[in-house]
Amino acid sequence: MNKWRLPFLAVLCFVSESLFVDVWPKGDLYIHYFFVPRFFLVFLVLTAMHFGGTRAMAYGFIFGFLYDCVYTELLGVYAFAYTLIAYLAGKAMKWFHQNWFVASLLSLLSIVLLDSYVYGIQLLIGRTDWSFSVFWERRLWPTLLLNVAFLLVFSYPLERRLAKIRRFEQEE
Amino acid sequence: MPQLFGNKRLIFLLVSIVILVMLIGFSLRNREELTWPEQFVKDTVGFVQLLFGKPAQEIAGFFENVNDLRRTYKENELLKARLEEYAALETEVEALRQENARLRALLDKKESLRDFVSIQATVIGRNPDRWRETIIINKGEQQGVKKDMAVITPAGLVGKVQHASQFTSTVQLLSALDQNNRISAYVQGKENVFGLIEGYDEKRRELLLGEIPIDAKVEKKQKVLTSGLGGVFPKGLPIGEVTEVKPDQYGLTKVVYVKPFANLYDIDDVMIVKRTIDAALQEKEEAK
Repeated sequence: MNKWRLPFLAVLCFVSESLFVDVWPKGDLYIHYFFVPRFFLVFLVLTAMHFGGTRAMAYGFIFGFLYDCVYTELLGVYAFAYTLIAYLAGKAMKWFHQNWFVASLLSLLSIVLLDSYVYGIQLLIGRTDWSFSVFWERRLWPTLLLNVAFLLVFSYPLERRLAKIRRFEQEE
Repeated sequence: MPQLFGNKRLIFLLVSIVILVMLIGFSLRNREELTWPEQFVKDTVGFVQLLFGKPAQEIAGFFENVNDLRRTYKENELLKARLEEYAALETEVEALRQENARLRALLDKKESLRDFVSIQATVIGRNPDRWRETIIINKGEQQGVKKDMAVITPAGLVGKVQHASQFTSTVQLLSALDQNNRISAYVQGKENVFGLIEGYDEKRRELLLGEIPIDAKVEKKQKVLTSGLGGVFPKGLPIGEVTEVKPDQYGLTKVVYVKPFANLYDIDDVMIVKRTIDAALQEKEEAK
């Protein structure tokens, strides 16, 4: 039973991204600005903190691949980025204090990293012609804003939850 | 400071980048069908999304309903006024339909590009990163959905099926149209003018209808419908209304801006449209 707690949480974070966009009211705000939920990335950074980089990398690779297959149909993009970010987060956790505030800052940094990287790929394969300033204004800022709100509300409970799961696993 | 990547890891990273480039190249090819592992993954995730999505949508729906209640009175007034127009239109349509059927019987022409059957589907997910606006629906090949079929709401055309797996499919919305995915359409008038829906102007939120001869007569407020000439779309699905006509950059053809009837963003339930003439033709061929 305890073995399934972490995967379940991962699936929840993964699916909630798509649901969030689906349920979000589709007004002018939605059309002009791109609020991209990156809940799974937050989960990934927190996992790297509690369970180490290797485990986070495995999750990053599997769910990144799911993301590619199901949503973007551009294989490899997210699988690569999630794995790399998990690796870097795991490394970074060794240098900093391990608390949820540091993890939150790291998540924000990785969101900037991920979104710029995906923008770069879209630019390379010619699916977008946005200049960097347009990307900055219409996509990066709103995305960061949304995820800061998410972090304010959920990062602490999520971090506690993960700490609890780690304790359960250590007891076994 | 410890080293970020060891020697082995650096090589591993480089190999991954090469694989990444290869995979992107593979996905960018114009694929007819998804590979079966991809289909399997999509269906599985689709199922999980359905499990979580139903309650979430119900909660969101409740808030929407509360919002709707506030507007009810005004809308009711408007609808009452429209109802009378509707009754008159209804009788006219019925009369025309009967006449059409009679004339067709006279000509002994049974199938038409217009006839279609529709498959009801619900949206179960959306692409969260929105670099390309796609939605995931809960019907797939098992229910008869195929690649490139038209997807409509009661208001009009919203997109086409990008890929169908066994139990779910991905719909590419009109707002995400690219150069490779053009839709044959015509402007309804005394003389129909044919063209191709070539893209989407994001600033104006309007579709671009191109390849229209420079001497063709197109005016504002005229309706644009699918022509049924290319691919598997039936004829006569409403797309939108002409808002502006101007010559293209070389001055050889005209470009028409079309405001879509359907809301291309707020989509909950859709219909996938299947042309009946294709099925009839197939049966004939099999009979031979």
